[in-house]
Amino acid sequence: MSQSVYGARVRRKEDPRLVTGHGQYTDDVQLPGLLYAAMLRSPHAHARILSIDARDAEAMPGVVKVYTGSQLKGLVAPIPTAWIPPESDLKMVEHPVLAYDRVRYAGDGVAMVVAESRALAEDALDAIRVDYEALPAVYDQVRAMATDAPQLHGDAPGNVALHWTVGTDTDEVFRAADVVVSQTIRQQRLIPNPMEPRSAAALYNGATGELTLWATSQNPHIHRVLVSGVLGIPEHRLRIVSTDVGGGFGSKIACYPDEVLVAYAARDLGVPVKWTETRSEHFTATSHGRDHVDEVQLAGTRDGKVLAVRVKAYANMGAYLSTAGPGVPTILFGLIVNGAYDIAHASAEVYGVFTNTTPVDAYRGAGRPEATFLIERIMDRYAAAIQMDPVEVRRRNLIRREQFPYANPFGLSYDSGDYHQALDKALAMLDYPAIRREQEALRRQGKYIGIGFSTYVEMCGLGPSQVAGAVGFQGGLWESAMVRVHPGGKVSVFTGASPHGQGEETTFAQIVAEKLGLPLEDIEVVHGDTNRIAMGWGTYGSRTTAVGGGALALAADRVVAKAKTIAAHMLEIPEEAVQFEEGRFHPEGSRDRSVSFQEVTLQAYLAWNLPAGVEPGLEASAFYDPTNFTYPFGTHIAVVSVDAETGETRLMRYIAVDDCGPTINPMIVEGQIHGGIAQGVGQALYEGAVYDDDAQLVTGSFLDYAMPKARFFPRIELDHTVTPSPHNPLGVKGVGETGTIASTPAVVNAVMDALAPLGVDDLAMPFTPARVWEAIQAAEGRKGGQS
Amino acid sequence: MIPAAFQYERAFSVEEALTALASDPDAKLLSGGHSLLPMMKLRLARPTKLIDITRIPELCTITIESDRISIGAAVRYHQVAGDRRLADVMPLLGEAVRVIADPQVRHRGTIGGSAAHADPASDLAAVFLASEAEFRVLGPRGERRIPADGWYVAPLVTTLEPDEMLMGIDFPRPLSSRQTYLKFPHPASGYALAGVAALLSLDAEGRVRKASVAVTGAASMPFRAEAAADRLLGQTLTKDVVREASELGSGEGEYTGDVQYSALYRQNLARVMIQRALERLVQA
Ligand SMILES: Cc1cc2nc3c(=O)[nH]c(=O)nc-3n(C[C@H](O)[C@H](O)[C@H](O)COP(=O)(O)OP(=O)(O)OC[C@H]3O[C@@H](n4cnc5c(N)ncnc54)[C@H](O)[C@@H]3O)c2cc1C
Repeated sequence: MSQSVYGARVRRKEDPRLVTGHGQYTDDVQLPGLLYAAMLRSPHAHARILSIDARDAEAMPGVVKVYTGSQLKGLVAPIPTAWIPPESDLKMVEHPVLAYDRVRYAGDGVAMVVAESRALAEDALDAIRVDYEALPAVYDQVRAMATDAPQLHGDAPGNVALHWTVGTDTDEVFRAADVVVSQTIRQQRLIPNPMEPRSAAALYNGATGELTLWATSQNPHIHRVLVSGVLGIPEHRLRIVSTDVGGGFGSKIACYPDEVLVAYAARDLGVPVKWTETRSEHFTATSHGRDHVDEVQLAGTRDGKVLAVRVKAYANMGAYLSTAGPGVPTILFGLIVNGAYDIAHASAEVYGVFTNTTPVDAYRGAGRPEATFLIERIMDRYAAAIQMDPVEVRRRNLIRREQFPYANPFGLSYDSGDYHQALDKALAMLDYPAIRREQEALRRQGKYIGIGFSTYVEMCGLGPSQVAGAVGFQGGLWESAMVRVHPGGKVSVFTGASPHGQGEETTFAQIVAEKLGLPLEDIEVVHGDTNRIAMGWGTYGSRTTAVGGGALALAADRVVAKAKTIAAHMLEIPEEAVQFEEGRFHPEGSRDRSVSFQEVTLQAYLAWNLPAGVEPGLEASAFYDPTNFTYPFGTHIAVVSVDAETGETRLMRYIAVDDCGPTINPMIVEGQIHGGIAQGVGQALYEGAVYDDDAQLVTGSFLDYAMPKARFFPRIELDHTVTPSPHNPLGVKGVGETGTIASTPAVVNAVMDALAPLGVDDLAMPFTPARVWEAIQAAEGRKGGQS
Repeated sequence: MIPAAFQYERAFSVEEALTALASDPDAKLLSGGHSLLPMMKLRLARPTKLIDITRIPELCTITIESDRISIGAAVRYHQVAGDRRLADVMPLLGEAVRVIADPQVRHRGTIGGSAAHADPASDLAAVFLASEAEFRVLGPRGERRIPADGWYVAPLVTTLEPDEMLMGIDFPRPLSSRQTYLKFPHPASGYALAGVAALLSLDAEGRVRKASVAVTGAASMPFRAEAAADRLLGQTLTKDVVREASELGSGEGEYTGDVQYSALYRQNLARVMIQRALERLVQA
């Protein structure tokens, strides 16, 4: 008996290639005659460009050409945004590929040098003279809305990029409620920092007019649409290749000026050109994440029933609208501010604001971490206000099992779940009463530990397309798959999703192995090349397995159905009597006579003896549009200790019980959760972009910008519940972002719990040692003042 | 991220290195390269020539004699961490190098490079100051011996002249037997936000006979906490004595804050880390 690989912890097929340095990343592209590009970026956050003199640079040996914004204006279209939330009055401001009259953030592109080596290109940057007239700059979105604030775009008065509201009327409920808790919360700006920086390489074939663009993209087909539009290259002459991509976390969704410029130069010069961003460039020139100021309010009863929640959000969009930027603080945030709770009345009002900062776009979780953070923090405040245990308040408000499908106040339909079961399981792992006793005992010794909860739900598995249209996403959100069985019985699988570290070369092979009864080694998963995959929408929003896997399951079923027809003919029995098990077709109830999948495949291609009306060949494709989002959920618990003398927070325990439906590969799921948690903890404790008054990024390298590191973490304790989603063929829910969404509030709640006896009741992320220590000092000062 | 063009030359003897250095005012010595190369990649440093000194035999040896320990300038951190004899006579040094960065950096970085680069948060600065190290320097005007106290002038500035080379670092023996290095790493860079090297010897009655404490990272310059040592001398190490010594010791630094870590926080951290280092030595 062969063991099914579906649901098994099989090792990742892609890893041997990647960990031995044999990946084919964009920067690995080598072509005869390759030239290298380097970008000159504005040192000013806001300035008028008076003149650019590139003559010295162009005269340097080895320098081929210098491009500036005024040369390209009119030749290259501005960078478009691809998400236009309805009724948001979105201001589609011009985003030129190179600034020609004004720079709007430090890092804005001003010129591109193309030279014979990367070193020469960088040398030439130093020789370009730009005359700037510095203008006042603003980095904070609330200040940017003030009447006297510097204005970024003539067609966006008051720097307002969008204004959007959603939800039910809540005023009446708030007026009548016994308990109202409010808080203003800043969710700081984060810098994605995938391991691989962005990169682009382009090759133009003048004879055919074909342009190949290798690019670090999470969605090569979306890149094809956008680059085709910006450069006027028809899609059938444009190939985007993004096969190995070293992480993205949302920062590789957007179409950036850089890849457009590289493609333009390759066509213009007739010579291939490559550019790879430096880590320093990444800090300012690649999209950032989060950056909200939120006013959140909750109305409830004295006995712990939440009646309403409302949010007013100010989202920093940066200097221009990034590709998916406008959708993040609106659709992906506003529709789920009630979280996992049964709250009848809820509303969200969002301002998107232009500032002199790097554009903001999706960052792991995209909108949902922001929403989850607000509701999970305000639930704790509410618990404190009515002096109830935070677990009990959650328990009383979590949506109950019998309420599914649950219609939330924003019109979403949560698919399935048992939120209480996940909470109980996590509490049992923790031994809640014991840890509260320990906390009490330690407090008496002047030691502070805290316990924090996050009972989250999120919406992901982005599709369906109808909804995409309704929410203003300028694309579909279905996914494509093709299963091609080769004559010898090996299989190539083509997916329109574009994994870049998530392991779908393995999980997708597991799906097909299960369906076709083949060994894993016989299945190859192809992704990230628009010439090999007709169309697809890429990987983000935890959609790859839920939507792409759904397409794949359908395509594989179609292959099996055809194979069955052929097998019946070969076995000379009716099709209904054929049974397919472990890779063999045999008559129902008897294994004496059988044909293997490979024999059937060969027959399909030889076509010597096919049933009437059956076409030769064995492949099938599917375009699958899910019926709804999926809603993974769970309970995360953090236990932290805070050193009151140094302000240092340490994670002592981290417990996560997640439900992403059935798991195809538990090891990969756990890896996603581990990494997600680390990233969310990064926001809670370590990461944060800091700008100075001139809107210069002062945390522009790893010397000052703290990424979470392995040594900061205890062993993460994981468990699962399994509630299949009725919204896709595999019943799976996305799991790529849950860890990040859940962990930030769990850790913040834990630290606030630890600090409560010291009198600290408000603190802004990240909880660096200095911030925590200073908050303790301030609280002691207040206490001292009172006594 | 690519340095400006430069020449590379490997010196096989001290004379070769010094001659090459003297012949080009814009040349720089290259040791482990883990401070110099990042500066060059950011184009904050643009030497015309690098003179690699890591194959000069005299610079690569560790000698232990009865009255001193001598470490060649080009000795790498991992060599120190792996040296058994050093672990016996000066455990402090191994303890400190083991918390510098990561294995890659420890494999390349050198003791002399750290001293010459003089980053005000370098871990070894506290060790050099607390153990009263002496820097051996050679140049066209001959040899000089510079005590640790006279070495660090300002961030990234030492008393070394541009045409001189640091040959090695000597630690006097015997050193106090109780030694420790305690580090609070910056969450981003891993450099010391505060690092404390402390050495103590006690007499038969448990009173402090000799004490030395130095702090790196916290203040704008690494410093020796003389007042802490003075407070400890002749005392039995009660909680109060340790607390007072830490308070006094941290008060000797000059602190300047940055956007994330204020001067006040830094001074507090120095105090706490001195106290914890001393408490460790009490228990040792
Ligand atoms: C990622 C990373 C993390 C780090 N973390 C830490 C940390 O936690 N703690 C810490 O203390 N350090 C840290 N460092 C710095 C590291 O210790 C450096 O290696 C060290 O400071 C310099 O030593 P080097 O041998 O690499 O010197 P190099 O980079 O080769 O040289 C540095 C400077 O000293 C000069 N120089 C070198 N040798 C001599 C000599 N014999 N005579 C005269 N001048 C000389 C050079 O010309 C140059 O100006 C880190 C470095 C990196 C890259």
